[in-house]
Amino acid sequence: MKKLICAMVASLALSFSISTPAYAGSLTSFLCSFPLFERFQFCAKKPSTPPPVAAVPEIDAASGAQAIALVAGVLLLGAERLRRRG
Amino acid sequence: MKPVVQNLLPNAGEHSNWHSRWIAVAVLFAAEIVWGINTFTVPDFSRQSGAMAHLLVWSETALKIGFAFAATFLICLSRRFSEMSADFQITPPNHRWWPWLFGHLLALLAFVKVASPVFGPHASAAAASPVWLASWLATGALALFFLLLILAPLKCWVRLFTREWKGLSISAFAGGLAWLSGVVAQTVWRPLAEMTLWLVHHLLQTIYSDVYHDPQGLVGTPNFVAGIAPVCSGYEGIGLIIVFVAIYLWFFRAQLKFPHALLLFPLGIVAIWLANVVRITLLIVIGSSISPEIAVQGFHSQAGWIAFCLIALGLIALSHRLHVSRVPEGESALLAQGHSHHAAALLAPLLSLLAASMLIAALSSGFHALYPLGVVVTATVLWRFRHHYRPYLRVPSWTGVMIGVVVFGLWLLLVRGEESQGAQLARQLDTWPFWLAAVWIIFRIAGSVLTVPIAEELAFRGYLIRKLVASDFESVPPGHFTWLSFVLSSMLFGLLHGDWIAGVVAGAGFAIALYVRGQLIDAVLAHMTANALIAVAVLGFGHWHLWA
Repeated sequence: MKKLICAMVASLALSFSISTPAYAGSLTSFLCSFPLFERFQFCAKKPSTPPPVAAVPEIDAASGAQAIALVAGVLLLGAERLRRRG
Repeated sequence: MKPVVQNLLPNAGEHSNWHSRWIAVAVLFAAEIVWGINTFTVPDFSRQSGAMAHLLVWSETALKIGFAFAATFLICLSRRFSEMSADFQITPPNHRWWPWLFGHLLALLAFVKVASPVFGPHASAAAASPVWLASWLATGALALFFLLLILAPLKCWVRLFTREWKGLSISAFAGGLAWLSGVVAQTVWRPLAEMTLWLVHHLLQTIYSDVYHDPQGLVGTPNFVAGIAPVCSGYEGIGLIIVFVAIYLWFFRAQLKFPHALLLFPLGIVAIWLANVVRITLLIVIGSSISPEIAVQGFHSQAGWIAFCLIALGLIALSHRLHVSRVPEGESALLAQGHSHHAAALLAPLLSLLAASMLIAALSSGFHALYPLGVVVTATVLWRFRHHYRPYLRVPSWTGVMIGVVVFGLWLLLVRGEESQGAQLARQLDTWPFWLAAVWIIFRIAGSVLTVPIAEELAFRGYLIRKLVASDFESVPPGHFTWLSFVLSSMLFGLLHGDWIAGVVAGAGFAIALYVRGQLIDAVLAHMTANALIAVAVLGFGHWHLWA
């Protein structure tokens, strides 16, 4: 039960920590407007011109078939273990 | 051994006839769907004005809802399939299906004729009119109606709907809900993408001093920039893990504790989203500091699926660690190494091959330089379980070789292959020192002729084809034929290969090799022969696309 509570707290904490920075962009801008924070890494100025962007191919469907087959195979192994036990 | 040929004859028992007819109709319907998807195109109705255009824009949505309904129907009513099929099996023996097949084909022809002006090669939304729409819907409905009548008389279907109306209603509601969830998910991709972008940006800043960040969705370094598109924002992975957890909870519900097991949903969602952030960060690091080609060609395609596998399998293991499983902890590790029951001996080589292939592809720039690693991994697993394969070691026959030659011929006819990929493979080997290229080719031959055929045949013809006959697959002799196991195992084999049509045909050929004498060694030999001839075609005649 303790492990379950710890897992719930951890997942809630992670969820909260992920959702909070959604507006951190504006918070960063606000902080970086102060000279005290200008020297920190997160306030470093970004380049004025964007570097070239490479076109990325679509995700390969064949890799999806392999991944699903791998997971399905492991589930089948688990089902076989349960069947033997049962 | 029971003669296999007897079961193939049309009058080999009513039960066999019923199964055969259902499978044949399923294959026919699937073929019609695939042909339709490849033949017809949907014009951009959103650019047209008028009620008809709006109605046809919504037709695509209706199709998606239909697929969602079919999926939820299969899930919700899966427990009643045996009762429903028993109900259909008492179909009168004099049910004449061939007039309905003829009617279906005529209606389908009419449907295609009507659809062509709007959805055909010269698709034009302007051809859509209320009369056209009524004709399109009527011919489509008629084709579907006749298809159902091929399977069973009308009174069977009326009886089905009368008995299962509650389940059908729930399925329709669940399907609509599933579709709605997809719509909602699409509206929240932007906030999710922004969170992903923010976290990736900050992770990169711990590594690089000069990180480019564009609020429009671009993030990277001066050498390499990635765009966070909707498909990269994380919500697709979240959807995937939700579906996986739902399936896992459903099929293993007897072994899991509820509501504790529902914890897997938030854990899985958080884990897959974080994994996506790490994936994008690593993509930019590899692109900036190692190789843009590996980042774009290999890593980008594979990393997401590798993360999904790791998280899915991790959730399974976690379900036991968190005591959400009813199975005692001492026997609970699904991923424990060392257990030696027969199913593991048949499946583990293929699973290791798949895992190694994904990893190799992730670290490649289109050319799988690390292919020898996959051969070594698969061979090691096969060696580990070698004692389990003794029952399958029989004297092979020439039948397997002949079937392998036939499969090779069909493979050459059916595989389209991309010449550019084959040329890239040959070019890459040319840039290597001779000895290194020779070593790679030797491993490529060893893999395709030895380890891959053995691993795939053990899994598909040694395990799956028997598992589809009975749950207790060990009691099923290897040569036992049923239409369901033959067709389904061949289709699943095909789906695992890039050219799935050629893969299905090859799978069917290897299954036939198994059925002739009931010896798995014949299927293995057929597979080895086909792959050996492919190697000859590649190395002797320069058809490198066969290995691409």
